[in-house]
Amino acid sequence: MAAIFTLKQVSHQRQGQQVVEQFSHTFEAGCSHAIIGPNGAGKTSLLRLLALLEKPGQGQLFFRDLDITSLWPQCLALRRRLGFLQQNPLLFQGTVWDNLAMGLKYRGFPRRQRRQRQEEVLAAFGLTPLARRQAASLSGGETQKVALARIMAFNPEVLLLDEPTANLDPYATFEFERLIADIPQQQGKTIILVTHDLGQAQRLSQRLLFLHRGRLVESGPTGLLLRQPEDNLTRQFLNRGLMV
Amino acid sequence: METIYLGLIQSVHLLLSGDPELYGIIVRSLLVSGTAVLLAALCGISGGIGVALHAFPGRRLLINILNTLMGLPPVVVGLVVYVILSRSGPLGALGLLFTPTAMVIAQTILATPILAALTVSALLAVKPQVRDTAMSLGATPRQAAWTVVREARFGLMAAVIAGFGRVSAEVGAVMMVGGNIAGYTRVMTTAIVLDTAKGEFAQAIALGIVLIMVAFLVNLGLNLFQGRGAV
Repeated sequence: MAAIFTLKQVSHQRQGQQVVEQFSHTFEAGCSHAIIGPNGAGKTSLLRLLALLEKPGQGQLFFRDLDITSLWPQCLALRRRLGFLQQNPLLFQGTVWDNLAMGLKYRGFPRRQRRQRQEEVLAAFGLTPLARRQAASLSGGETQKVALARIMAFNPEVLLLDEPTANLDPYATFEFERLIADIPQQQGKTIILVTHDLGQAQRLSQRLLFLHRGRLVESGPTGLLLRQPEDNLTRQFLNRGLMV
Repeated sequence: METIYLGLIQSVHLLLSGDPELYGIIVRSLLVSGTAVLLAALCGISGGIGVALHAFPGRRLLINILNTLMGLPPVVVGLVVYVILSRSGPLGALGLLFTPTAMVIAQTILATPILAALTVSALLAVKPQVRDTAMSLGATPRQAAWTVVREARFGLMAAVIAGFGRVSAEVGAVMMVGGNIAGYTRVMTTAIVLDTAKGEFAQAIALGIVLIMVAFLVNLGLNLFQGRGAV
């Protein structure tokens, strides 16, 4: 399979703290990847680098075969091929309908085409009854769904999801996972998911990465890594996770 | 007490009778203050956006200066504008002293720092996540900045209202540079001062009522506007 992201010896600091250290890995295109690790492992920081919101401090980051680090900051066209769902996503003031238009507006979609995409995505996510609702009045699950729909409206190649179900109840989590699960197989997209939920990693990903203190400890097929981790740190983390 | 009571009755009568002098003063006041706030909004809001959304050396000092200038004494502004526009001043040749234009200039100077400082604080109050979200949705830096401004729109409206409130209630500067000329530069506040000095309380009270009503209506408009964007 072709690579979508390749990281070579990437290190990165945020507010004087080393958040990603000597990170090398290749993310395969069209595949779903889950990133797990304890708090402070650098999962969100890694996702922000992949979302091209920050330039890596050191090392090289490739999107397909383009070296982002040498292109920076001229990487808007590449960033527009990615969809990043932040932990606790923010919806802008206005209605659900207005929010769905934002990514399309930034890309200069003509009004008619925008409306068509908005309607399609509302229907696909079962959000049509909420179209005229103010974003501020939505529940956590609805907000999460609208935020994902807002990304899907511009049809990104890669979905970067940062703990998308962290604050959702079990039913909303189930519903959200169902939406995510259908995406890669049907549309050939790459998904990179940060999660604390090992069950979710197992349900949604084909490849699993375990991070600890900014470093990649090990990676491999999800089922195999969960059953037979090679590293002690991974084993300890998984045992704790399974006990929880 | 009787004076106030009689003044109130007569003021209502004046307002209802459509007295041309009274309404001339009201319209002039709204035109002068409205124009000044419009000009101040252009300078203050754009300046405030520049200060709030860009990092540069001395930014914090500039914000402190803007906050200090919010309390600019109107008589000092009146004095400075008077000196500049007086016959011997640098812009004396323009012959603007004791004209509505001079009043607009003075009020614009008073309102601009208020609008700029309140714009800065409204924009700094917007969550940093807004810009981040916009960027992650594919916004250019300019589009992301515009999104931040859009999110602060109620704060910006409040800044405009505060600026209008400040200049429409102001008397010192407009009296100095306008001269309170009947039918030409007399506005509500200067007319109230004059009428009170002459003991003509009816017109003074009527104008006071209108002044309060204007403030109320402007705030009501803001609330309705905010209500449309609220839950």
